This record gives sequence, structure tokens and C-alpha cells, in this order.
Amino acid sequence: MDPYKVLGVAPDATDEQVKAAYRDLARKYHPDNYANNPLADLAQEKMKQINEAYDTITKQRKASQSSAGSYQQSYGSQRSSSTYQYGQSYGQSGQSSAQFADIRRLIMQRRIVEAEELLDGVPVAGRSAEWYFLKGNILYNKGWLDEAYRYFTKACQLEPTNREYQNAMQQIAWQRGSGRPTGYGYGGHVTRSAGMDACDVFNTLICADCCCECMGGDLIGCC
Amino acid sequence: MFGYIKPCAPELKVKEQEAYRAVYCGLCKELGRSYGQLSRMTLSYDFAFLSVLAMGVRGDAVEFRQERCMVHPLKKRNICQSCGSLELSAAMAIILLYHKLQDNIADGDAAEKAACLLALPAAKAAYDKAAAKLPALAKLTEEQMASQAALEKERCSSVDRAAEPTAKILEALLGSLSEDETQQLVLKRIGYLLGRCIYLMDALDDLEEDIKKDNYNPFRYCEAQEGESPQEQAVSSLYLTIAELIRAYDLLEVQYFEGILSNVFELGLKQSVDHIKEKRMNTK
Repeated sequence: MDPYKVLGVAPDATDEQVKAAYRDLARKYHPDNYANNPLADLAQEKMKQINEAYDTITKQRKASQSSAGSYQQSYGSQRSSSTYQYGQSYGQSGQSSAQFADIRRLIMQRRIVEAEELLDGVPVAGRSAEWYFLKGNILYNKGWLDEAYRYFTKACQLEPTNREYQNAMQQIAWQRGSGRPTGYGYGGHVTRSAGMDACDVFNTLICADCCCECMGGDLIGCC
Repeated sequence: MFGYIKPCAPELKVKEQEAYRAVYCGLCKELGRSYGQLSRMTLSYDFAFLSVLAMGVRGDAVEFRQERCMVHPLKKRNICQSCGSLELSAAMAIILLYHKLQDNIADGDAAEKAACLLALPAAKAAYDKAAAKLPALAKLTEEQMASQAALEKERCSSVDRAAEPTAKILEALLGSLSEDETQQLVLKRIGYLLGRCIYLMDALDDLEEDIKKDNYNPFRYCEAQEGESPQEQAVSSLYLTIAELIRAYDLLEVQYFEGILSNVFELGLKQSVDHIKEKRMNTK
């Protein structure tokens, strides 16, 4: 496939334009945005195409003007130690207890009905934070978004330090307030209907920070 | 359906606006040709959108021609010619119309009942013809409408469950647009969420009236998130659904009409929710 088509830019685009297009797409299709999503595999495939296209273009351009410009590695490989791995390692991560390993596997294979049956069979006394997270996950897969939010919230209440549960909950909280998926450029036009709570403020700041970084600036120094 | 699914018009390019309008006119003519002139009254934005989506996904050979029509007799306009996507949208519009009429006869006030009873024989004839074209979808719609009636009767308190019948119908409808397994997965997710979105938009639109008349509305009975009014809860639910729709749409492969489709998903849906919200706030 034509790498320029994949990135949606013209072949005579400047290096900066290519990089900007690449960044926007990588942000959009980043595996974190599709964690728990029934379309996660497709998004991963798309991300791979985008990475390959960017690598191809930068290599081509480097070869043709070997003296000028520095070779930029793609987003995915740069960040492989942190976020990009998340989508792949999810399921056998250290956070998962042995009890729920088979349920996670079923969810990964999109066998949602079986996963839900198994999960509902867990007696009420054994329902840990992870149980609520996985239940939320199954509901989210089915498109039962309101209840998914409730279960993710409950999982976070039971285990507030867990990153996986936090991510799932915050993503939904952000989308409920904004009507936009996480990972989009917002350009500062964030309109909101209701008041903001601490979580919203946090999300908005992170988002504003992402936007600033995208434009080359920075709002929050540490991230 | 109710005409909530439409583009944000000022953001359309002129050529997109023209193509969209031509599809809208084409669907109107298709309805008249296949199901009688009266059926053209059922024309709505939702099915014009469905036609555009079907054409865009399937890559139908779409043909536009300059024609006159009786609604606008003075000037010739570009009109999309009959094709599989228009046939599908028209048939589905008729199937849903028939169920809507039956629903009104069961629940509506006296005037509504009388009007619907009057229209029923013609609608039934059209329905039979449409159901013969889409037997599987007609059967599924009937089943899902029955579950809808049952859950409304028991005053279901789960918004997710209340939205499921409409969601399932659109899931099957959009799933039928592609043979490709991966694209089908994406289309089904979009269909499910779109059906959910339409149902919830209608629920938000009717919320006040339903409370006044003591009719069923999922947001009346659901367990509210902390500190949210039923209306805020409805808007949040819808925003979340729209965000998830955009995420699924980002993975859809489209051959035509990408500009129109992106506009609807990324701008139009949210605009419809905001319009309903403002309209309801002003009448308070």
C-alpha cells in the first residue's frame, strides 16, 4: 500500500507535515484507546500499517537526502516500553489474578457470552475489584456503556491504585463529558454541559497537555 | 426512526451537500415508486443517511441524473437513481413505519389511534412487499419490537437494556452491508451503537412529556449517576455512545461519501443531541 495514502498526505508533503499526520493518526489509533474494545485487533492492525508507512517514508527520504534531516523512529517503537505494549500484554499482565485468567482469555478471544456466564458464576463473596473490572469490560463489549461505567467505577473504588481500572474508568468519564473519543485533537474547543469535578479537570488538563505537546509546547512539565 | 441522524450542514462542502440532497430525493422517489405515493411522507434524514452509508460501504455504482419531481416541479434537480442501497433503505423505512403505527395504535391517544388505524391497511400492503425483500430483517424487527414492548411494560430500569432492541435491529441491518468479515465486525458495532443512539435521543426528546403523561421513559426509572439529573444522565449517555461510535467509524473502510459520513459521525450526531438539549431547556 502507498505509505502516503496510509498517512493521508501528498507525496510532496514536507517532513513536518508527514510527522504531524503520523502523530495525529498514532494518537487516534493508539492501543490504549481501544483497550477492552471489541475492535481492538483491527485498531492494532491499523496502527501497524501507520507505523510501517511512517518508517517507509522516513527511510526513503533519508536515503534520498542522506546528509539532511535526522531519522525519526515511529511512535510505537519509541514507546514500546510503556503504552504501546499495553494492548498486547493485557490479559497476562501481573495485575491479573489466576482466578480470572481464563475469563480474561475468553474476553480476548471475544467469546463474551461464555465469559459473562463464568463471571456471573462467581459467588458474591468472591467479587473483587478485578471481578467488577472484568464485568465492566464485558458490558462495554456488548455496548452496554452505562452499566460498564458503573462497574469500572466500582472497581476503581475497591482498588484505587490500579492503573488498568483507572484507564478504563477515565476514558469513559471523559467521553461522557465531551462526546469525543479520547486520543483526538481538541484544539481547545472543549465545551461542556455540566460542572466539572476533580476527575474532569484532571482529564481536561491531560488532554490540553497532549494538545500543547502536539503543537510543540508543553503544559504539564512532568508528562 | 426520527430524523436525528443528519450532517452538520454548514460544515459540508457544496458538492457533498448536493450529493446528500440528491440521495435524499432519490430515496423519496424510490419510496413512491415501490410503495405508493403516500409512503413518501415517511421520508426522514435517518434513512437518507442509511442510504449514503450503504452506498459508501458497498461502493454501489451511483448515478445522478437531472430530473423534475412533483414536490419541486419548477426546477430540474440532481437525483440519485435507483440502486440496491436505496431499495434497502426504502424497505427498512417501511418495515419500521409499520411497527411504529402498530405501536401508536396500542399506546397513542385517541386522535393518534384513529389516524394510525386509517393508515394501517395501506401500510400493511407496503409492509408485506418490503418484508418479502428483507425477510430476515423483518422477522428480527418483529421480535425486537416485541421485547421492546415487554420491557416498557415492566418499566425496565436499565437504560442499556431498554436501548437494546433498537440497537439489535440496526446491528443486523448494518451487518448486512458487507460480506467481508472484519468490516462486518465494524459495521455491527456501528449499527448497535447507532441504534442505541437513536433510541436514547428519542428518549431524551420525550423525557419531559413522558414524565407529565406518566409514559415509560428509560431515564425516568434508571439509577442516576451521583449528582446527575435524568436529563444530564441522558446527555452523558448519548455523548458516551457518540464517542464510541466515532471510534468504531474510524476503523470502517469507505469507498464513497467519506466527507458526508465523517461529518455525521463527528459533528452531526453531537449537534442533534445539543439541539434536543437546548430545545428542552428553553421550553422549561
